[in-house]
Amino acid sequence: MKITVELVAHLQNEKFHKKEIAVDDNTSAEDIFNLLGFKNKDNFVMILNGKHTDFDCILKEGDNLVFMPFVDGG
Amino acid sequence: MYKKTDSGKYSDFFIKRCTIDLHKKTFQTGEFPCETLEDLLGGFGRAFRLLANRDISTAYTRENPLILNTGLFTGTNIMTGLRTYFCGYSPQKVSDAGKPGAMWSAGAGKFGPKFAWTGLDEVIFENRSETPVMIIFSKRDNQPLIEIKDASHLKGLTAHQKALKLRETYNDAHFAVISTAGENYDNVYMGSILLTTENFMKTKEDKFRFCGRGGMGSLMGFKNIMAIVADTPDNNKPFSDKEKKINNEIIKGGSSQRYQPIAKGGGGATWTAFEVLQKFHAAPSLNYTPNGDPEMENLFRSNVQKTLNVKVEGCYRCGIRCHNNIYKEDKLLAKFDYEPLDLMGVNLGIFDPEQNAILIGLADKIGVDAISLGGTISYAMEYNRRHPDKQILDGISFGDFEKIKNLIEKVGKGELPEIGRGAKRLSESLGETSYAYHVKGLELPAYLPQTNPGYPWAIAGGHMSMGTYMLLAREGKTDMEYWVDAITRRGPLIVGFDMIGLCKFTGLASNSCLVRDALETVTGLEISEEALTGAVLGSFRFALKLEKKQGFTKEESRLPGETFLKNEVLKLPQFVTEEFFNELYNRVWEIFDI
Repeated sequence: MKITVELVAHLQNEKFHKKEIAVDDNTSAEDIFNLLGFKNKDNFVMILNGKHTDFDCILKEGDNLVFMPFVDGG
Repeated sequence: MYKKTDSGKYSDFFIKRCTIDLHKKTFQTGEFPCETLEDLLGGFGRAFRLLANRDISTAYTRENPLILNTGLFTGTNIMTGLRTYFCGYSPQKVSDAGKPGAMWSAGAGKFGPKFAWTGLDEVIFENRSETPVMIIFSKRDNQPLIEIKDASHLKGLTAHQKALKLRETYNDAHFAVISTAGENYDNVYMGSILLTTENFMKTKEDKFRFCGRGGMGSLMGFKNIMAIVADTPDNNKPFSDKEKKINNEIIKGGSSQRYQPIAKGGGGATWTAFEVLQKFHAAPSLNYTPNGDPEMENLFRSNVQKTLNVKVEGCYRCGIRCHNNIYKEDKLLAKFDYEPLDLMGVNLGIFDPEQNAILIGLADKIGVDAISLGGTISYAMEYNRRHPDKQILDGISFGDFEKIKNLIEKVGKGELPEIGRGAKRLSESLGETSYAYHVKGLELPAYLPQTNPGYPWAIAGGHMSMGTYMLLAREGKTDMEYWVDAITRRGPLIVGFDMIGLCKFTGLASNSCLVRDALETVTGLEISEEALTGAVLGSFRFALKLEKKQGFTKEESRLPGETFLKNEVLKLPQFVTEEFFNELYNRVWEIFDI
C-alpha cells in the first residue's frame, strides 16, 4: 500500500519534505519512524490524517503521516 | 549556601542574606538556617515568603523590596546552574483592585554564578536611592564585601553601554543592568534586567540574557539602581565523578536534545517551535489572530539562512548551546528565540527576517520584555485596524516597520506610556479589552489562548509559570479531565526550575530523578520525589494565595474575550469554548481551593 509521509522543519534536512512511499500491510508509525532513522521518540509529534497519533498505530492505504520535532518556546 | 552542621536536615544549611537600605546607604548581612525545603531550594519559593510579609499597595513605593537571589544549583558544577532571580511586587501585574502582584523574573548568563561565588544567596534592596547608584558585590577574606557607589555616569546609557563602561573597571566581573526603559520606569512598566554573558565579556557584543517578565527592571529603575556588579574570581572547583555523570546525562540523555544545535543532531532550540506551530497555523500573527499567510514561512530557519547568518552559541559551561544569534554579514542583529521572533515579527505583521531581527535587537537595546512590548504594540495596531477614523499612536499599523521602530525608540525614552504600561492599561483606557491578549496584566507569550486554557492560572507570565502552553500541539487532547490535571498537577511543576537555579532547557521535569540526584550530590541530602513535588506545588499555591492577598479575584482568572471566537485557519481542535472554560474554571479552583 502507499502512504504519504511529511516532515516538518529540520527533519527535512538530507531527507525530503513530502513523499509517497510504499509499505507493507500492518506497518506502524513506529516502523516509519525507524525507517527514517529517527531517534528519541519523546522529541517527536506525529499527526495522522490531521489528528495526533501514537507510535503503535497501524497505517492504512492513503494515510498522511506527519513527523514534527517537538520543541517548546522560551 | 553553606553547611554548618551534619544532622541530615534542611537546617544544616544556612543562607547568607544581605539587606541594603538604598536611602541610608547602609547594609547588613546575616545567616539564616533553612527551615523548609523551599528555603533550601531558593528562587521565588523563598523570596515570595518574604514578599508575603509586606503590605504593598503600589509597586513604586519604598516599602516594595527588590529581591535578588539564586537557586541551590546556581554557581555549582551542575550544568545550566546559572540562574539569577529578581522578585518584587510588579508594576505590570496589577489586580483589578489596583494592587500589584508578586512577580519574579529569571535569567541565565554568568552573573548568577559570579554572584553566588561571593558567598551570598540573597539580597533585599530596601527603600530607594535619591541618586543613581551601583552595588558591587565582591569577596575579601572569604567574606562577602558590599559597596554602594555613585552611578551617575551610567544614567542615560543603554544596557550595552552600561556594561561596556563597567567592563573597563571590572574586567573579571559580571553585571546585572537596566537600560533606558528601566530608568524611565514611570512610563515603562515592562523594563527588563539584563545579565551579562561570557560571550559579551569576550567579544563586547550586545549579548545578554534577560530577566524580562513583569517589569523587574522598572522596579530596579525606581530604586535608582543602574547596575549590580558581581566581582569575584571564577570558582574553578574540579568536577566530581557524580557531577560529570549528571552533566553527561543532561547533554546525552535526550531531554535537552531538542534545544541543541541541529548540526549536532538536536532540535535547533526554540526557533523550531515556530515551524511546528505554523504547521497548525497556531503561531500567533496579526495580534494573535493567524490567517494562514504563507509569508510566515519567511521566518523559517532555512529561509532566514538565505540572507542572514546564524551562529550557534551557548551559555557559560553549558553544552546545550541553544543560542541562535543572527548576523547580517558580521554585524550581530539579535538572538532568535521563539517568543520574540513571533511577537516582534509576524504578530506585528513583519514578515521580513532582517526587519524582525532589527526590532528584537531594538527591544533588547532599550531593555524591555519583548513579549509585553510585542503584545501591546499588536493590540494598538488591531485597535487602529478596527477604527480607521479614530487612530492612535500615529496610526501605527501591521507591517509598518519604520513606525514600529520609531515607536520602540520612544518607549525606551519613556515618551509612550500608552505602550510602555502594557496592553491591560491601554485597552482599558480605550474601552476595548476583548482583544487585548494579556492575563492579569501580563501579555500572552506566543501561544494562542485557544490552545492553552491554563493561562489564567500562570503565576508569573503565561508560559514559564504554567507548563501547559504546548500541550495541545504535542498531545492533541481536549477532554476536561486531561486539562484539569494538566493545570493543577503537571503545569505548575515548571516553576520548580525557578527555585533550583537550573535552566528549563535541560528538558527535565523539576522533580525528575536527575534533579534529585543532583540535589543529593550538592547537599548530601536524599530528597524524595514527593518532597520535591510538594515544595514546588506548595510554592505555586503559595503564589496563588499571595495573588488573593493582593486583591486578585478568581474572576480575574479569565482569558481574553475573543479567545472564544472561532479561527478559520487554526488546524488544532478549538475546544476552548465559553462553556468548556466555565466548567474548567470551577474544577480548577475547586482543586486549588485557596
